[in-house]
Amino acid sequence: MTSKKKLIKAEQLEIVYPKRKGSETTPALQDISLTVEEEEFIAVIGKSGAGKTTFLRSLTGFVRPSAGKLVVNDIDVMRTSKKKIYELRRNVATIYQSFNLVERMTALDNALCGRLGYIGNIRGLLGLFPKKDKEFAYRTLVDLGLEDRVHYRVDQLSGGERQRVAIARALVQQPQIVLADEPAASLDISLTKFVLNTLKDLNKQNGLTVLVNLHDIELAKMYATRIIALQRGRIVFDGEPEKLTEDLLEVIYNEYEHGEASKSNE
Amino acid sequence: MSMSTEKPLNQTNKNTIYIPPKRSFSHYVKLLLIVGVVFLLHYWSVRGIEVNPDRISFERTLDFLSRTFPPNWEVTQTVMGAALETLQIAIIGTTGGAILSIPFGFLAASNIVHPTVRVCVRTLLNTIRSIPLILYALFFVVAVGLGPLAGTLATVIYSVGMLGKFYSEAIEAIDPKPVEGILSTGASKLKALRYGIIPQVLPHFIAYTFYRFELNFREATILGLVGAGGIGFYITLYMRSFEYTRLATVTFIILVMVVVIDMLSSYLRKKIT
Ligand SMILES: Nc1ncnc2c1ncn2[C@@H]1O[C@H](COP(=O)(O)OP(=O)(O)OP(=O)(O)O)[C@@H](O)[C@H]1O
Ligand SMILES: [Mg+2]
Repeated sequence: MTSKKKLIKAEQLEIVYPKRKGSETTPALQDISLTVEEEEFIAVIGKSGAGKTTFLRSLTGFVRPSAGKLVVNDIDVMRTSKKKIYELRRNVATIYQSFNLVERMTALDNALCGRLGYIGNIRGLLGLFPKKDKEFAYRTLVDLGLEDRVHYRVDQLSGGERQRVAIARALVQQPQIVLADEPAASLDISLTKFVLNTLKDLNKQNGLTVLVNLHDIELAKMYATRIIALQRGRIVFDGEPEKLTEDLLEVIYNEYEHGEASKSNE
Repeated sequence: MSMSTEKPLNQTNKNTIYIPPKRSFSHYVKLLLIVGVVFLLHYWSVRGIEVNPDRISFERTLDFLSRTFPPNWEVTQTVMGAALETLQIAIIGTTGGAILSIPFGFLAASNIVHPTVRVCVRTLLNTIRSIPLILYALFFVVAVGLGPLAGTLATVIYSVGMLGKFYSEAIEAIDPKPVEGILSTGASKLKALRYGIIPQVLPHFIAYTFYRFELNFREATILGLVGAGGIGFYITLYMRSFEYTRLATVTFIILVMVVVIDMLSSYLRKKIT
């Protein structure tokens, strides 16, 4: 385990959203310290509002931490240049709960957008993707079972098909890390399993590192090699799924406690 | 309690006493004041426009109408030529205005630029819109001389006032999710604009542009009144020389073209979205 590359290093990370009128600012995340190594499959769990989405989005620079240190893929997210952030996002793909696809473009064009990080601005603006990129995007969609939907516009696709297009876009990026924010929350159970199985296969066969936000603990236990539980912006559990006891879950999901949940690091 | 669940909702409790809404004295004072102001405004206006029942004469109207009928079709070819010039003014005026409106639209959108920039550009657009087309036409007649070029330039500027605002509203209404989706692949902001924003706003841009084209054709018919080109020239000409049968031809041609253009344009607008 120790010889593996550390892909994510967070130290005492704190994220505070800009203050809104009439509401006090409690950090969305605080005191987050963790490292993620290559080939891990991590599930991030926690109640709604615990900070799961905030955590994932901070990894690719969509939210700026207010304190601490965050290094992803050897890039200091808080101090780096715009160019480096683009490069980071290219290597760290995100799959969203609401798919975040471009409705008026076809499945293929959406998947092709996964190559945007690889081509220049002029080519990108003119839509001049190399032929091998197009073929790659096409094959990725076919591999995900979308062979007869490739040229459909996304607004004509079902939720499950859209999520597969979103996965295709992420895979076309050829990323090292895939972040998935409740990728199955709007899908039924068989599609949920399909999505998670796909991620699991990529994790096992291609050595892809996966971080997935899940609200379903059973699924988290089933797929993840490590679970991180957040509660009110803090890590209350970080370890192997087996170590996640009923008592801890009680704490995480029913807020009786006063934050004395034990932290068990690997 | 009377709140039993088996009872249908429309069977209300007969013992409940109706309490009417309370209206205070000041409520009626306000109402009276509003009525008073509206009345005074209309009294003042009617005085101003010298409404005189004697002047509204049925005979005179009938007389005028009889002198416009039947339309003089001899001038059809001449008038048609001018009408097509109006159409050309509307086409180039709209396209020019649309192109110019794109940067203005982005610069007036709160999700694209700093609030200060937005306020400045919005104010500029409001100013442009508050000046009537005919004044722009007069200005350009002086600047570039008589003819359709003046009318076209006037139409371009005038269109920007509305299209710039409408475009910016379309941009402000976009769903930010696809944009983040594109950015999440490592695409630059420029590419996110191209793939995340443009596909969302383009249909709206086109629909608004068609709508502006309908308006532009109608409004461009009067440009000729100040020598800025198009069919309006014949309106003044035949009006001044009391050639009402020819004026009828002009009116008829405008009517037909407006109807056809509106139908075509709204059909295309529906096709897009
Ligand atoms: N853009 C924002 N501006 C201000 N506050 C925000 C913003 N996004 C999230 N928050 C706040 O930060 C906290 C964490 O939110 P986050 O979306 O990360 O939670 P989550 O665990 O993903 O919840 P869910 O399971 O509902 O998706 C919440 O209190 C939320 O209200
Ligand atoms: Mg969330």
